[in-house]
Amino acid sequence: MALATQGTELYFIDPADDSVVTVGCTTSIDKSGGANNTVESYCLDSFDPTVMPGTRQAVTLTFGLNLDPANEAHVRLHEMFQASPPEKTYFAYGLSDGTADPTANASGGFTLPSTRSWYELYGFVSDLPNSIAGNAVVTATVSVYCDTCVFVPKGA
Amino acid sequence: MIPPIFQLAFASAEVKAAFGSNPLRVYPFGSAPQGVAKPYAVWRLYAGSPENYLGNLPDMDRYVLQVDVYDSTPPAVIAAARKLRDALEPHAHILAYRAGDTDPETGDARYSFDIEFFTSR
Repeated sequence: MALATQGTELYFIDPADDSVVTVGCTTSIDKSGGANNTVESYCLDSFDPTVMPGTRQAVTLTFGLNLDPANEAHVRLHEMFQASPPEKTYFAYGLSDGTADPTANASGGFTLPSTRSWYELYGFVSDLPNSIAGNAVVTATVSVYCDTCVFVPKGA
Repeated sequence: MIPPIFQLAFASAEVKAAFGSNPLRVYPFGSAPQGVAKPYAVWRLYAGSPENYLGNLPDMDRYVLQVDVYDSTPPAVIAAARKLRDALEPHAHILAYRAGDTDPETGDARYSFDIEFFTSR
């Protein structure tokens, strides 16, 4: 069954105190990258390649916000972006097949409830441009550069 | 659900001096009484949407309005429309001005502009 985008919620672990922070006012969430590199090898007498999986590329999580300076999560994302160097932490988004919030575990990661599907990533805020245009609201786009992404379907 | 055009117009002494204060002759489209005093204005909400989010409810609404001002003569309607524009413009961007025309039945002059509000809930 198709899944509505409304009801998708984004969270991160605040690296300062390992608390779970809910990112409100998200207008889009895009995960890109993470493709498998490929290796082709040929014998001298072969015409067709023999293919093998290579390494995997990094994942980028990009999400759009209607920027709200009164939203502590938005302020925290800016602080994490501007830290020198930015600290890596966990990000997760829960799909609309559930409503349960994640909790923080003892080792600074997420405990993800099995009543909802999740994507979990580990990375740092790599870019945070914003846009102020006429006849519009103030928007920001957050990019998080991540090691890998784990998909945890509901019930798993 | 409803843009704050009436409240903003009512807050302006200049607008009240021109459009009256009891009642203020700024009406939703189709609600101006027959034979109402002039100048008067009618507005129609022709586009708009909430600021929708993935995970939480909207906190702001966008409204796009067409505002039509009527008065007896072209100079009078332009003066009245300017007062209404000046009262609204600090709160919302004007998107378009439209050349005035004359109502074929009443002979009244009309001046029209579009305005876009972003209103916090």
